[in-house]
Amino acid sequence: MTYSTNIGLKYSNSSVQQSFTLSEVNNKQIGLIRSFGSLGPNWDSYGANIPSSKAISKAISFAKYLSDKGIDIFFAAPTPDGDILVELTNGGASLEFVFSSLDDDDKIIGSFNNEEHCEAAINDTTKQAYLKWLICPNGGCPDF
Amino acid sequence: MEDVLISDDDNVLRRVPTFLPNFIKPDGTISSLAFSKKRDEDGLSVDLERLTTLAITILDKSKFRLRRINVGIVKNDINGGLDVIHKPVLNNNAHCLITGNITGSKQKQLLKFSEEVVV
Repeated sequence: MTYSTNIGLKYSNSSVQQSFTLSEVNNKQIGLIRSFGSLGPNWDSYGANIPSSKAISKAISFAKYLSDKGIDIFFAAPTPDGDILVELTNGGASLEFVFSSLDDDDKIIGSFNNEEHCEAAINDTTKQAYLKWLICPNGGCPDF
Repeated sequence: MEDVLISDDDNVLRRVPTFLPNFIKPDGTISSLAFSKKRDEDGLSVDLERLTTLAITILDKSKFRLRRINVGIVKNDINGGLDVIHKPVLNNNAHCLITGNITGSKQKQLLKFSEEVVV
């Protein structure tokens, strides 16, 4: 499986350099995610819930985590339940991280060419494994 | 309210937010969130096109776009137990629900088979 890379990864040979500053893209995305907190009920005209502060906080923490990995967010939006979706892409592959207002209800959905490929609850293990699937499908970044 | 029979030839319309939040991605594609519903909802709200007008359904052109999808495609091509039922609500006799288990995969298919409506 080969993808064209459009993620701004910072590699040094086989290791990912840690960049402890927010990228411009992720800084903007964090501002956008914060702005979802100002949405009122029914923001989608179909009765959507107000995005929860807990989901927003988790999504922002994740954006900072991604910045440390040198990965930019592609898309972020609230869901009708008040969760926050954060999407990453690499060629035809994409990951949707959904941060919920409920405990233990966060999930990752992996897709390839718009077909759902896999899904898991978010924890440290699945988060790293899915990011590796997205970024290094051929196992090219073993230290990731 | 009258009983309305929905045929496979009918089309339904769904609003897509484009302001804040904006479901249009940076590459111009639309997020499948456009066809997502709340956990506790009985179905995905849509309007039956023949019982409304585009101007009425879009509500606010500065905040929404419209997507159109054929009922026959929902029921027969996407399938998986999806159906479209007439469920009028206050001030909207065109209101319908796409019912069934609308998984993430189904949301993507609904988006794929829908088309942009120019209002």
